[in-house]
Amino acid sequence: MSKNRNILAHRIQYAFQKYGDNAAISIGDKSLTYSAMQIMATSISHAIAAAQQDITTPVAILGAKSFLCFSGICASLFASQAYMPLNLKFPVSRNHKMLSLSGAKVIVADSHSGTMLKQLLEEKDTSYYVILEQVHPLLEKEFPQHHFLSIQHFQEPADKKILNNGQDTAYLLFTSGTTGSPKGVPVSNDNVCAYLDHVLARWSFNEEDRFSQTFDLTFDLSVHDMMLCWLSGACLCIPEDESPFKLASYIRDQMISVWFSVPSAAILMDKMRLLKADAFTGLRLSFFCGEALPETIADKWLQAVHGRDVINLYGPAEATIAISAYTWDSENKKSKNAVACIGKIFEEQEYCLIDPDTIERTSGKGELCLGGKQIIGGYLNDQELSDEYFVHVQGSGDQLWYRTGDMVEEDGDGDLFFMGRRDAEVKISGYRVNLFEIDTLIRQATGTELVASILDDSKTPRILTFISGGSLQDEHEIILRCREELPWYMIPEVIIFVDEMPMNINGKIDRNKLKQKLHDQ
Amino acid sequence: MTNKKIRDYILGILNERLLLFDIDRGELNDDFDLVKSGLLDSMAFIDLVAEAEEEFGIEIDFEQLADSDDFTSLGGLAEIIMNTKNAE
Repeated sequence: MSKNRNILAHRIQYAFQKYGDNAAISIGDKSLTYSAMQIMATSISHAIAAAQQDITTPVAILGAKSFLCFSGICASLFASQAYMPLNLKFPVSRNHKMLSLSGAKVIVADSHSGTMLKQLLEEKDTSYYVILEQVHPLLEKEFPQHHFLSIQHFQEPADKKILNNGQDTAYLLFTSGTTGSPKGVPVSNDNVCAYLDHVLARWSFNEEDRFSQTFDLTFDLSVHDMMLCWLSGACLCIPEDESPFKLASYIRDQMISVWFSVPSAAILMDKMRLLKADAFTGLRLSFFCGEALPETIADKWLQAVHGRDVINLYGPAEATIAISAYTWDSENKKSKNAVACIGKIFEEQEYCLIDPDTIERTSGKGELCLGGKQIIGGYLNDQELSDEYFVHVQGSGDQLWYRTGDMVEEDGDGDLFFMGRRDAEVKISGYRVNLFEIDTLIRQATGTELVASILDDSKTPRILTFISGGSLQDEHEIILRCREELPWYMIPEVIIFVDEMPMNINGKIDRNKLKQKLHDQ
Repeated sequence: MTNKKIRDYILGILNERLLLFDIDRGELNDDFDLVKSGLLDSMAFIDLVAEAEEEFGIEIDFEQLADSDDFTSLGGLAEIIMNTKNAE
């Protein structure tokens, strides 16, 4: 085991054998044991191998949160490949882009994926291998250029030899980019295992635990839920109804003991007056990550869980799930600007602060740069982009540092506070949104360069787009175009046409003036 | 308190969004889902409920609502507001 400690597939297989009869996943009142999941994942991994595709490309996972999709994730790793989640809630074009950027040729699809799958298969230039629970003959007839494999034909019992080494990608995710194309973030086995080892050493989980699962699979925080749960022999509890309004009853009905969500989920519960003292006494550990945690929410959650650990995690996908943590309890309540502290960088990892303009080291306050085993090697097939974000810092050795774009302050104890961004990236319910990506799309649609999106966070955060000139002046048409190309959380809520766009002295659109304009109204 | 008055009030607040989505108020059925349709996200929906609570001087019991499947629909929401108001 020890020599395979950095290979995720080995660790999962070890857990599957060790915890055989425990429930690995439950969805509503149905559950799957570790042994049953191992059989399912092994069958899928044989089907993946039968497709005989380049194992350096990922296996795409398409579907709802089903037994097949979760088994498909393990199966990709068992087949010595990475997995790449697609998202049924994304527009077809977004999923399509992810497929073509990644070079994935194998798609594991569950029974919920029907319409999306068919739309993706209409692609004429590529031939995909589609792995399904059961292949319908009509599907083969309709799409003769693709290959269909039914997992029922791959019931060989033996495991396959895992060929990975630590540097191989374990999962590939995409995050909003500046240029209108999403950025591919390949996270290696070494990266994930470094994160898991830190968390497993710091907090204890056991076979009795019931883990929450609130994240889309396209969100890297879902990896925390799956892997920590399975390596601990616990049960991953999938909400049967994904409605965010039902999360409070989900915690109680499913007897969740380990919680993980974006702070937005807690804010929503608070707005519904469900975040009351002792409301969730079954939770022994609560993690939050993905966006700023308001101190009032941290406090209310602490009361709801009767003072048990509330942990605020911080970290970009490029640093693998999370890389700093702050435990919020009755004695430790550090905050700045009413936002909870993000704590100290994990001791196995490295960090420094820089002046974002000169890229020289500073102290006390600056852009956070990260180094160490959790940091990815660079973006997928984009050296130019990688060179922009992975840089040398004067006086900080030969190594490359990942520039997070997050401006932080550090106090005397080494605790960090998030102070804002240096670029046009914003967070909507924990999702990273680069406002320039929205602008690029709307520029193409309208034919004017004068497009600027801003985040209005005076109340519930929302995206507003200002447009001046252009041939398309129909806000409905513009929104429609956005809905065709962008995930739901990137769609502007309001389009505002202006006669004149305010400019700063550098000749760039002055977004601060636009924000001011909004508040003056 | 009539259902129609509440419905009109909700649609009044949503006017800007409906225009943006090119949805004709007159064509909206009671089962039109304000969240699943993409018109509002969950946070914006709860903000809308909070506005309605203030307008009608009521406090909705979300604990009970969580079990209902149609409280995010236009008719469902109007009914909950009406029932809460009339129960006072």
